[in-house]
Amino acid sequence: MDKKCNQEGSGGSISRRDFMKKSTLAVGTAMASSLALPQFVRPARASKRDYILIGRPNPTTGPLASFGEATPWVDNKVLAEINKDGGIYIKELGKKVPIKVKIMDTESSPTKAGEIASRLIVRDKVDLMVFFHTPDTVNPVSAMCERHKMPGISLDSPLEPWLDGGPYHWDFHAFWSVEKDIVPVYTGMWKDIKTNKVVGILMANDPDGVSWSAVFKKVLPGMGYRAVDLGRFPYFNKDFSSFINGWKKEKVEILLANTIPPDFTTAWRQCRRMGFTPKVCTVGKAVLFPSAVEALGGDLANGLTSEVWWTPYHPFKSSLTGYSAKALCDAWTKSTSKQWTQPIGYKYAGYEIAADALRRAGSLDKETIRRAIADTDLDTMVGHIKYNKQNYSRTPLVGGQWVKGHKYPWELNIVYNKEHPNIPTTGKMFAMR
Amino acid sequence: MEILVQQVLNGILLGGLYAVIAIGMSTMIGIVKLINLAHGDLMILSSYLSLVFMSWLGINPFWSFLAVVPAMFFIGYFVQAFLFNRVLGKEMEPPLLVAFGLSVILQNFLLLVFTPDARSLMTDLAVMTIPLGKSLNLPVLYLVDFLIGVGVILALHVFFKRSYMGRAIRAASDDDQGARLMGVNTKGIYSYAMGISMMTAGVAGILVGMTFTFYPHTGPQYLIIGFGVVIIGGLGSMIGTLIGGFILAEAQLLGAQFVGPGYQLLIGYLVLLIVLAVRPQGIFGKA
Amino acid sequence: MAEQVFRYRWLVVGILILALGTVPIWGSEYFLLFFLLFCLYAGMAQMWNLLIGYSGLLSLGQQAFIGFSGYTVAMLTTYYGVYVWLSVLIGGFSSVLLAMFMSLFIFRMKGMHFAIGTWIFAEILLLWFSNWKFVKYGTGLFIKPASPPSMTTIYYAAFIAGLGATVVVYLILRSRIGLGLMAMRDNEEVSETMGVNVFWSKFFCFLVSAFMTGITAGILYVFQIFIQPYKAFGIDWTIILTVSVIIGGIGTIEGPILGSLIYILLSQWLAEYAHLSLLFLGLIAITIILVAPKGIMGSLQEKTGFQILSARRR
Repeated sequence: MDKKCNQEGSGGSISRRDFMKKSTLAVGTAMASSLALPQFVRPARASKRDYILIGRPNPTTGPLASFGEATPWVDNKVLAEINKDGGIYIKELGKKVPIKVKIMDTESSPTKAGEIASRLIVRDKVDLMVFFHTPDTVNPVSAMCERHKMPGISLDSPLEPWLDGGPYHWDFHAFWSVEKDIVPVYTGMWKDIKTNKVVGILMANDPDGVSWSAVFKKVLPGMGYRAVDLGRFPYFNKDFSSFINGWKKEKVEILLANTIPPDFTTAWRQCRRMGFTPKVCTVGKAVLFPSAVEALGGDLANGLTSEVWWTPYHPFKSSLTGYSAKALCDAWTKSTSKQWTQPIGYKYAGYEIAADALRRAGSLDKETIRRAIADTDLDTMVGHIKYNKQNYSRTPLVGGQWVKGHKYPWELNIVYNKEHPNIPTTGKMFAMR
Repeated sequence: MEILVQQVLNGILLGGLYAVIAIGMSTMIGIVKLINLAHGDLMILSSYLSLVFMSWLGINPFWSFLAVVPAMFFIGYFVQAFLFNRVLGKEMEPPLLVAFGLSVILQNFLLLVFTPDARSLMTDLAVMTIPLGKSLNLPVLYLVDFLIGVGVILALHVFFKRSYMGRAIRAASDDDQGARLMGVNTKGIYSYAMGISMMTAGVAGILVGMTFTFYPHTGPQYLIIGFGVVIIGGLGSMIGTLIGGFILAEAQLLGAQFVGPGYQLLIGYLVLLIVLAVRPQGIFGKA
Repeated sequence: MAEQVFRYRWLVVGILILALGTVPIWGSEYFLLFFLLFCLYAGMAQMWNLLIGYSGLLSLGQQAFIGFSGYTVAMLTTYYGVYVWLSVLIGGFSSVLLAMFMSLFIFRMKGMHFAIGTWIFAEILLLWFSNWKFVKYGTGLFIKPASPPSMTTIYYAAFIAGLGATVVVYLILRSRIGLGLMAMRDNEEVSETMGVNVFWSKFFCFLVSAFMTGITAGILYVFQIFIQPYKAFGIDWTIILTVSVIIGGIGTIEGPILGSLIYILLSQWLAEYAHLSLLFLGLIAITIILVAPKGIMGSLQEKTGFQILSARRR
């Protein structure tokens, strides 16, 4: 690298041309940065807005994109309903104001989710955070809510990983528990099929995989099942042959899985290629969505079972408009020509809870909002929500099975509902071979 | 025991795929002395191109070879002509950083256009298997990958040894100045070489797209595999690339079998690191 | 005239440092967030530049130190209740140990092989941590110190780290080692015959880089409260550092600072359009390499001899 002779201190003066060049550059940089600055130079005091702003980190892109897919459709729809007659009455503003939402993409990354949550709280100064969709989104955002003392409403992420980050004061969560809900539903479905009760575990090394495998390994022996656990694997693992060989050797007839959709696709296809066909295959997370199921190809999806947290057949109604789960799904299909997905109901419910709490709080004061959320006692699109002392509320869980559909390539039947008989079954569970 | 044999068999087949992934990189490093950090991403680009052709024309992935491979040639030619040729020189960093920049641009471009959803080039071969004996299975797709992969490498070998262009390329790489003195347009040759490298990347991309799922950021994984094969097998040797492919694939599969499935990639990397430290020119490479 | 401009520049630097150091006083919460990230990224960029710009070591694996230190901090604070800033310091030292271990393997390698070696190491660490039960596999760990530090405290830690990184590079370059490095940059073989100990100079810089990167990363994770192996050990870090420093100017002290500022500005501005920011940065980086390979500051220095922080002795 060649070096230019250092001009400074060489005795001569800097030529005017050089100085002009330098100062122009300096001024130019200053001007350029001031273009970007107006974004930051906003008054530091809380802006007097005439609307309520909800912060909404959402996995719009990334491996969790299917969860985030129905946003912003659902968000806009439910907000329109809330804002229909002017919105929520806020004491400090002396009138009814609408709710607006700021949605930001977490890219399915927990790190990004945390950064976005910080931004929303610190820069956009939201009044309330509403967020969902797996521990990778919910955990970091709830941590940020706790740190910045921001009230938060979260759903759609299993309880155990969320509780790990507790105790919580500001965030309120609603969903089901692995130990108390998944285990009875899964083992309940298995009871209907005659098997040798040997269960193979296929779970990733993410929060879900780690907590689910721990729970199942603890409870299965007591229920007469033998668990075969060959270890966790990282996302995007390409070759599952050592797992499959192990299961064949142990004569596994029930496959229990929890992975991201693409990993399950790889694994399931390899199972078929290697001639491993269990009688039952119950998959958490990876086969929740029709798109993931279709991506398996061929008839690989037939008979896969999964947890079901919301369907058009759920007998719940909106607390805002009174229409049913089915009506919501039909509106979705009509508007987007796509098949319904489970998160739709939960996204809707999140806003129901928010609107209800804000109405009772009648204020933008964070502590008042927080207490209002804590007192929630509401029938929503996903069931009854009432938070307990640890800030969570359990929602109902049933079991489902994918079958060839009439209207769509694959449809989900509810095949197990013993804990929640008010949610009707729509089909009978069958063995895959 | 059969499990072991099965894994070894899988490893050999997978090794063929790994080798064809790496051959493009090996060509560029050996001939143009360019380490193309964007090779993995360019490969994935071709997977997406195949996807596009498949949905436009409703064909299956094998037909898409006809469209994608020539397209990749042109892409490679232009990338070399307009980007890399400009920065080839004595210093190592500029071409490396350009390649890096290209990788970043490709990944984010693919992300914007195709969204991060996982894709796959669907083919019925994906689940077919040929049973061998009582408990061995020969996954048809792996076999196809292997045959095509080895075929490509052999074709390339013949090309460089026999054809005029191949010899010109080798001349340019052996002695850049000498070749130029003889009137050979070395920069043009390099672009041609890149085009060929990209054709192999195109083949590899389609094979990978059929065998595994891909996303916009799957590129770097395959880049590492490519490096692994090149480093283990050694530069400038077709046999080396094939053997390197087998060794890497085998290390991964056997590692998974004996240490644990989650450690699959890890074992591959460890082998790579050891080779790098102990014999950096690779098994078949010239010191 | 020249003397005036020269003295003037130290005043400017002084004012900037003062401004940066007092952000908690005059800045909004968002400014605090912005400059906090700026200080940390500038520190890491400075360290990457120390390696490639001055020691001829291309590192594609800085994330190994970032993740390793981050996890050290997480484990110490959450599992053992160690005082948070002490944990950060230990994190820095653990990175140095990692660097020493790494060098056993990779310091025999040259150029590209070295670069790949660093990358492979980072990938190995990624896989190791995501498969390790103690750190909850790929779930990630929360960083929950017994007494959580306030944003202001974290900011000051970041400020000291970022400033410290620049000061350390400045001092190294002004010292005898620095003289050796400059000689190496021109011609490694010749400088070796002239008595410059090439190996130790590079090794020293490698360790320093590991230490400061570790410290900076530790502070970053205290700020983020949450660490997860895929992002902590991910190649994204290298992409960010590379692109920032290329744009700012490799081989200059001001380059990494300017580059990080541009990166943070762009990524915050386009935060809502995720990949556009990286796409732009990639395009800008490639354009810079083709057109002005020394980056903004580098080209500025070449054309006008204008240097704020000169590495040369007077």
